[in-house]
Amino acid sequence: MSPRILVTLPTRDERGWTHLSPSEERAQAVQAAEVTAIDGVFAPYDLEGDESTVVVSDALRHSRWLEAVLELHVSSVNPVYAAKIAASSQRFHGGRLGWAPVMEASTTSQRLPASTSHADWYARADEFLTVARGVWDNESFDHDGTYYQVRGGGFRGPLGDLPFPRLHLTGTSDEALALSSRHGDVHLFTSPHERDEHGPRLDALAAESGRTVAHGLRLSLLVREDGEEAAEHLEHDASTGPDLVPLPSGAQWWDGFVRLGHGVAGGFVGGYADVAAELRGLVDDGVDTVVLDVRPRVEETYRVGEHLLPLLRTTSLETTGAR
Amino acid sequence: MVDIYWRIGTHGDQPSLRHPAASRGDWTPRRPGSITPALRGGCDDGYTYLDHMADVAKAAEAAGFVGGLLPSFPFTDDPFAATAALVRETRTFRFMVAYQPGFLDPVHAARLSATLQRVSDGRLVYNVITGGGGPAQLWWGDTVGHDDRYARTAEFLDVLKGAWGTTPYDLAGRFFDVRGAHLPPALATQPVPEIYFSGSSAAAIETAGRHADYYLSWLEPFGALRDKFAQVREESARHETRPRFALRIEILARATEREAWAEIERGWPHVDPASLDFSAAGDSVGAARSRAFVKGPVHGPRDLEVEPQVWGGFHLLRGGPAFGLVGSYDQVAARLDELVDLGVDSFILAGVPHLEEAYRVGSEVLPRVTFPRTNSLTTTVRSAS
Repeated sequence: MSPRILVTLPTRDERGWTHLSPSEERAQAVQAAEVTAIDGVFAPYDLEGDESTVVVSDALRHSRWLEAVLELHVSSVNPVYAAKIAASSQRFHGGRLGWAPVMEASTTSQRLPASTSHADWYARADEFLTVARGVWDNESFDHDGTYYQVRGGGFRGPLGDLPFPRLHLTGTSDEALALSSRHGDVHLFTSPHERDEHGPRLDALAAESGRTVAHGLRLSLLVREDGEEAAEHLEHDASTGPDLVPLPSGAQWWDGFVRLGHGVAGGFVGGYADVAAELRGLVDDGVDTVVLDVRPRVEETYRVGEHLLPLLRTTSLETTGAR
Repeated sequence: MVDIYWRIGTHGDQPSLRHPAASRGDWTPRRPGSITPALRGGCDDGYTYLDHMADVAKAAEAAGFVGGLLPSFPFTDDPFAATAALVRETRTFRFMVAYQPGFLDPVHAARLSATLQRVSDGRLVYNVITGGGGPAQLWWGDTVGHDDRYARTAEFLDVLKGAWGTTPYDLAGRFFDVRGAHLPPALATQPVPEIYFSGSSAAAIETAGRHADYYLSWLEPFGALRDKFAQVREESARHETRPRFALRIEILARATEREAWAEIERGWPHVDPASLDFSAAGDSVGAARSRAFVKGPVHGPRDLEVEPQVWGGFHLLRGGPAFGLVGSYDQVAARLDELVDLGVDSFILAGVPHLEEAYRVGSEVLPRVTFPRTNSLTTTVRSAS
């Protein structure tokens, strides 16, 4: 089985070229993912950068194939309106929108009643997703909760028969795993280790609700033709000596990608074949989705598409008979 | 300078006022003749209603409108979703997004809007709606009552503007809890969108009037508008602000007045007689006002012409507000001139079908008005506003 591979989009100026508008810079990254047969793009919630709804809408409008996952803080919009915006996006863009609700990241504003504790935020998220699903799946929906109240809600006509955004959740607390087990389609872990530790508990909780939740990983990546070249590149770019953890494949795990400016700390460093072996092992073990953070985005997305993807995808024109 | 906007329908469109059947968008069953999506070989052709919205935006831009209003109702597509998808396909067209502040967090709204401003070079405009009330508010998940909704709109706009900078902003409000809100520098330098404010009740002006760049009203008989403007001016003076006025007007203009009325007469047989009973629910003061202007029984279309060219029956021929101007190109342009003399600073015009009528009104009516108007094709966006 081939994993679903997504790449993360920029929310800030990364090249710092004054003649290149930030939206044009981002459009190039979207186009890179589109033409290299990457499955999708991921627009992160970034309080210090561009807002992700705008990022995702633009990516969907200017691509044909890409799925676009919107990371959205649950405080930012009421669930009926969030679902309404999503419904139009699904109509406009052939059902390619995904959601990644955020609860744990900091926010600077919220509608009352305020959520203050970890448990509050997860209770709010549970209600948010219950209401969003409720108005999506029903023509008449009522809800009387702590945070949200709806009477006679529900999407009708052409807004009423659309795929709900594929739901990506994250976190390792009891609340996070419980929320994912009830609502999630994909649970994104931040490392294979974290998945080993918490994945079984998520699976058990999901089974109790008669559901399954796919496993995914958010990873940074630095790949070159061989491990030596990758390590050289890393030494050149990272200001302090990297603390790499060697893996059986020959690839290495590194927790220091933030030092290269990445948004995701952990990931693989190595040759194409070795990193592909690591990813293949994870896929064989049940990982369905990999959200990558690679820099610089355009160049490294091409590298992933041309060098890494062929080692993960076995389907060819010959085997499908397609032309 | 008067800004003249067009309208981008968010609920499909019909090919004329003669038949109420919509053919653009997918709110009615697809058949041969449907557009966005169309049928090819019995299958949808892959175009969506967004593609038609893009065409209307480009037509309006080319025809000399500064931008367009995108309305929002439970059954429509969403204006933010459309705008965020379309901004990079137009150059000067300003997207006037209708939304209700209660449904968004104000700091999120600031981030979303500033990002759109950055991507579009400042082409986002707000139509802030405080809510028509009734069952629709509960559909949206909003349980706050009429006057409190205006207080919430005011608090929302306080926070949105307060957070629109790099200095942390705090507010322990009635509706929102805000701590350390700010924008990153690249967003903080973007202009706050102009605000077209729907609502001109005393509660509206009292609580939220300080944020309104324009008071947006539907067209009404001119005397009623004059009184309303005077009342808003008086109320605003107490708050030491000078209000500007915008009007949303349906336009049905043809080379001769006779041709214009003939359009309506052809549509009239399709009007449901039950809809001639001018009563409806909701706590919208604006909607109640519209209904009150029609006096006496309605037997034919001209019974709804409350004064020359001002016709109150458009809602019978298509979804939307009742009042608009019907007449020759010269007559309609002259009425627009009079409205500017009355104090109107901005227009949102519309006609069915929106695509073709954008070209018609742009080429036949706009050149006939005598007041100075913003020409977005020769003025850069930021300096125009």
